[in-house]
Amino acid sequence: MSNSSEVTTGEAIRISGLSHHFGEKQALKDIDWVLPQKGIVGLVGPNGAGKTTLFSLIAGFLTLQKGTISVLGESSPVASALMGRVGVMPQDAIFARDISIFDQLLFLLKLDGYQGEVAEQRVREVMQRVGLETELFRGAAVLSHGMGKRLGVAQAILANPEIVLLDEPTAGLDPANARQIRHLMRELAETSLVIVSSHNLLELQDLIDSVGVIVGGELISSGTVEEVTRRARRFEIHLDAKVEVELVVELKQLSHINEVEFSDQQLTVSLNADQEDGLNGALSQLYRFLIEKGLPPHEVREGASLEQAYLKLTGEDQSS
Amino acid sequence: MIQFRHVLLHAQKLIIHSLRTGSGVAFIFLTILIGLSLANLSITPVELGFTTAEEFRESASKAIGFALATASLRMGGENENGPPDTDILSRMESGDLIDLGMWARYLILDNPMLLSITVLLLGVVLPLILPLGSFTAISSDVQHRTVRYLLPRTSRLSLLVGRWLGTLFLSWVLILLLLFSVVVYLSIMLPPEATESMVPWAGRCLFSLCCLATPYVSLGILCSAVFRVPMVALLAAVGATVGTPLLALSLQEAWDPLGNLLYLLPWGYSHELLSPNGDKVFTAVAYSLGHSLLFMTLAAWRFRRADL
Amino acid sequence: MAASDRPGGLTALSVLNGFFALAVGGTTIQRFMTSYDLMEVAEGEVRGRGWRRRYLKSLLDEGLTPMDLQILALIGLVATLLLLVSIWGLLKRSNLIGRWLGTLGGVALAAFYILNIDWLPETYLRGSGLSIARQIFYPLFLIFMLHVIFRRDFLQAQGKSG
Repeated sequence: MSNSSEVTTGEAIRISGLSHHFGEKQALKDIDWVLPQKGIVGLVGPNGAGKTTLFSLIAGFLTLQKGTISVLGESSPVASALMGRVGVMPQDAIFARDISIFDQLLFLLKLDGYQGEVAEQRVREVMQRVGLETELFRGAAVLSHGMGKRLGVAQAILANPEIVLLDEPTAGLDPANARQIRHLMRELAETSLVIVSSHNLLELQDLIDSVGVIVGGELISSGTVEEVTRRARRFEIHLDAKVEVELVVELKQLSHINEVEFSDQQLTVSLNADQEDGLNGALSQLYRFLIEKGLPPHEVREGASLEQAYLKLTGEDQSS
Repeated sequence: MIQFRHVLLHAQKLIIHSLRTGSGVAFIFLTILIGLSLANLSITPVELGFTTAEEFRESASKAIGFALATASLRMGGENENGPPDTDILSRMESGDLIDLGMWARYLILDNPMLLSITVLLLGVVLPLILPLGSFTAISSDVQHRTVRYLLPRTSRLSLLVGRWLGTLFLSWVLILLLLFSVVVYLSIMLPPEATESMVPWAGRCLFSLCCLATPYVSLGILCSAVFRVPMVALLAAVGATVGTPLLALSLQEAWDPLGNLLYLLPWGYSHELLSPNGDKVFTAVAYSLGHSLLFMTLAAWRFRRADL
Repeated sequence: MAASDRPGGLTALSVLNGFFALAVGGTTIQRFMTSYDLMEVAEGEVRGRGWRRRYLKSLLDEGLTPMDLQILALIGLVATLLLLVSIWGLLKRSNLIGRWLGTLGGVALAAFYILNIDWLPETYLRGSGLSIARQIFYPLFLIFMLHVIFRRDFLQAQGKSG
């Protein structure tokens, strides 16, 4: 059962000076990161950036080479006091094929300290939460990819852990199932810290409270979504008239405008919200300019700012 | 950090899992099949009347003496002239190998001969079968990354010790079943007075085989913890078990002390588990436990540092 | 989706069932043939080699009747058929055909070998005693596996198909 020893520091995980290498290859370089006790934290980065390595180190799959990871006040991620308090959904692990899903989850829950009827009830409850209650007594080998993902999430949250690590939890899921898992994550985040790695930045943007961006083994940016994307708020503006090049040239000269893209009746504008008057000042300036030009916005919506920030941070942005 | 509750849970799960997998069922069935076939091999000549009990006893005594001399690295002796076979036999009668002669007689005359022969044969063959029960204990979960579901919940040491305990228990139960079948059969076949002396000797044989199984199961677990691919773990365990005596005995030809390589595995002392000398039995048991401890310590050292 | 979630142990048991069905089937044929030979010897017909006739005569002298052998052969036949049919049931995890016919096959197999030991004279069994012990071990193992280890697999499969 999850053991709730007090963590007075208000942080669930503290990573200091973490480096890791596989042979010659440096997978992580000097990472420092502090994660809160509750909420959803996204971990993003290109393939091979070191996300899974960082996950594996926090989960205790890999042994620490350099640096420290303190989890829930314990100085090591494999401390016995942490057993059952951290739930992990690894990306590539598979369940045993010769034992039913029910028996496997029951066994895991027994390791977490549950017993008897309570444990059986809990397994049914969690399987229901991920929509797999009908598959309880089947073998894991017959599950589809999406069902396997949901089963992975189910085993991670079995014992109400205080920290949940989910590696690509919605990859390969249909929209309804992905939504169900996102809903589940939000529920978990009310009492626990959920760390989720994903390539679906649009999905993450609506889901997470804070984010860490890893590139080439380095944590190049971290903080709340607001903080990370502050320098690149991106808006799509639909006008009633066709956008002229002269308008774009003038627009680019405004102090709060970083970039402008346009097509037909649409402007996509990256605002610099880092000045003293913040995002409101930047938006006011934009609106004022458009109204002065006799082009009041027909529709304004915030674009994929996390994606934009990510592309900028990782150097993959080709638009500018 | 070992959590005893977890150790028991892992052991229990391993036993149930072994019974549900194809390789587990094959291990159980092969152990019983091969074990009973070996017993059949030692009993059939007398049963079919190919030889009389006396003739069989005499030739068995010689064969056992010869095997004991080989196992205790005493084939080359003081008297190096003359044909080796007759030399060994005469040395067993009145020379430097007289203790081996007495030992063979202890197994053949003082105790039920057919049971002794069966157990001696099992002592040679069981080390080759036991890796079948342990090669997947750790490596299978590591290969399929199933171990990643366990690591946040249990310590690596509890997992390793639990898997070892489960495999050991399963092996002991199989040895018990095997000996039980042989003893029941011999009890039916032999006159009732022979049965009485058989039961305590069967208990002693069971103890010896269980002691013998412990280091070999530990070796299997060590290979399973070191190698990520189960078949490689199996080959390593069987290869080491077969290769060690072959290497030791052939190197002994070149230089006598190299024969001591036999002691890398229990081959060097396992026969002493059935010795008439209590001190030697005690030493052999201690060596068995020592070997098991060594293999498990190496397994724990490797497994605790492994990237899983 | 993968093809099946049948535990490997059930597949192994179905292979072993096939192996033992062949073994007991062979012995059954042997029992039938010996029973006819015995009948001929009992009726005084002189056929075959001398040693074979003397051997059959000695069996009759020890109290073995052709009827005993025919009953044994019949039980063997039942065991063979049940074990063969249960292979399909084990692979399909059918509670009736796999679990229960397999159990009956196991019981018939055990009965066949136990009655062999009990009814056949020592001269007939000599040298095959431990192989019979081996044959008795299997039905016990099979019944244990079907009713303890795989019980829930059969019941669940039945629940799904029902």
